[in-house]
Amino acid sequence: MSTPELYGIAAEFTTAEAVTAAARHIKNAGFRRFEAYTPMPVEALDELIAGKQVALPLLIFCFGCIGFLVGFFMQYYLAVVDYPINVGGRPLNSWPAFGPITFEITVVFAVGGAFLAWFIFNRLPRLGTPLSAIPGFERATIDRYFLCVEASDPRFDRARLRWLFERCGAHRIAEVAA
Amino acid sequence: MTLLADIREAPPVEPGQNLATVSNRVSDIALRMPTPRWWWAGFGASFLLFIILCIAAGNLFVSGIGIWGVNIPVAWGFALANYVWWIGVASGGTIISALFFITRSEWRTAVNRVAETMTLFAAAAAGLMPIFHLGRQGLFYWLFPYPNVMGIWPQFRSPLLWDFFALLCYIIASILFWYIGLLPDWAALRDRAPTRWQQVFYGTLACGWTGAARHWKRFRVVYGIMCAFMAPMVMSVHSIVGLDFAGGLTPGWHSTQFPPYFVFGAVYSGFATVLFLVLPIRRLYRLEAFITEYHINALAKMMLATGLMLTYSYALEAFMPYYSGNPYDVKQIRNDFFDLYALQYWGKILFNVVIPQLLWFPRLRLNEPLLFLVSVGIIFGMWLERYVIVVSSLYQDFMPSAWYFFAGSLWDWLTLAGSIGLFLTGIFIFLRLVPIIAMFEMRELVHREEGAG
Repeated sequence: MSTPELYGIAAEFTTAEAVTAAARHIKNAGFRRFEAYTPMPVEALDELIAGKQVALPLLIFCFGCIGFLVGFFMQYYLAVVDYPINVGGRPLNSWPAFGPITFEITVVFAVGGAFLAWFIFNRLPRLGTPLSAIPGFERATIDRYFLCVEASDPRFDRARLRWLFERCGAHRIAEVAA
Repeated sequence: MTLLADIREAPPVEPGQNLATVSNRVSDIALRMPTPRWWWAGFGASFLLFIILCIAAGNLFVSGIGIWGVNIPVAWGFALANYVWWIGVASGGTIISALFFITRSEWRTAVNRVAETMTLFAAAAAGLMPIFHLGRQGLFYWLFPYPNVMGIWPQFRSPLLWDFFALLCYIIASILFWYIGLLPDWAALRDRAPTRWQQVFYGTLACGWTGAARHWKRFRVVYGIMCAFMAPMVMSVHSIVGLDFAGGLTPGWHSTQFPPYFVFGAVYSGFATVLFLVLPIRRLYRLEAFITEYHINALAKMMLATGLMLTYSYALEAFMPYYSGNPYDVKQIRNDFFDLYALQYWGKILFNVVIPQLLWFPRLRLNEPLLFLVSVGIIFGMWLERYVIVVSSLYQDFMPSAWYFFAGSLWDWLTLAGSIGLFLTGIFIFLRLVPIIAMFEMRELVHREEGAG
């Protein structure tokens, strides 16, 4: 009997502390391709799994800068170059008056960019993950914590992982079909 | 006083809650609970008002602005007062959600969803008003800087155009902010949904969220940055509304204090509206364990504080004309005090300044019916404030021959009532379909309390 293709091995934990400890063990054991699924942000998992995420804020900053340039130079071009109106002899490039619209467009670019970037970085939207098939995974958004080591990990070893998860006090262990 | 000590000790969430009870309690409201009778009654009444809005708007589009009470010199009537009123409520909601996320205030957690949702529908009601007020509503797109055969562009130096951009950007950003904050909760509803259509409906909205640690990390980054943008944005939006007035030379409007004055008023009406919604919701849906006296107390205190800021602006508004000695400004404030709209002026003082002083007393802050009435009074008082600013400053022009007594026509009142219908219809739909408490933030809070306790 041939075994179906494997996505990884997942373990279910009942507390945030347990899943954090397990993630630390897994990481110390040299695994790299693993992910935790939790009903709320668990800060300790950030450095174990997610890392610093430098690119995202930088990208949002760039979006904001683009918004600033678009906002200001749109007004500059339209009010100074394309359709200049002399208002009481004041300078055409009355930049303080362009401030509010520049600011609003900066913000909407940054917020919109953050929204888009977030979806793209997370590879969302999608219909589901292979984990959706394992029993009890629906509680990952309610009150259970899952840790899944993916089969693509160079050190992936079914028996060793099962043993590790059990030692960490996993509530349940399941193999995830790809 | 033991009561005071009790409130200080009052936890932001009742003991005995855990992650599962939070999720079940909140999601069952949307998923499993049979639609309560009061919901049908409230929704029916709101929807009726909404239909009235459609009729009023339909008549306006066909017959024109003449059906309203406005005329020169009172060219800005109800529509502008309503606009400022609604955008104020909207701004207040964002302040509660975004600014108090940045300060990590615990009391925000249980009420931020209500506040954000209130923002959306209030902003929708606000956005309609300036469009209604255009004589030719179909041409509102002239405000966009789009290339056109006339070869002209909007005037970017005008506060009214700033306002258009501010409102547009604000509504877009608010929707994105609201939606991204809801994603984890949509996913929780999807995972607990008992029927197929609910699974599909909430599953679609959840976009495949699973709560992966990497997603959470990015979520926190993005949410924090969004809050950091939304908080100043909302200040700017309502400041620009203030500049709409301050940019005019009309006595009563032409004042440098208007931007902060308007922001104070906005936050004030935001707190009042959140209390107006939260006090009944927690009772009707039995959410006392999550929206506790701690929240009520915090909201009431914040409302009192912003009320005092607004009081300062009122005092300045009365003081500056005499200090400057400008005869037109002095006449304007005397008109406010004693002339045709004195009733409205003193009404706003009563509802916004005098009655809220009751909130100094903890016992009265926690008296829910009283607090509810005070909040309704403030919401009403804030409308009066805008009415006085708009109308009382305009009705006696520089030219006595043009003086004019403005009173709202039937259609003015129907439009106002209808906009309330639009707002409440949205709120009632939200109450039925959307998790009304941010569950994942509540779980974090419960988890932290468990760790502490």
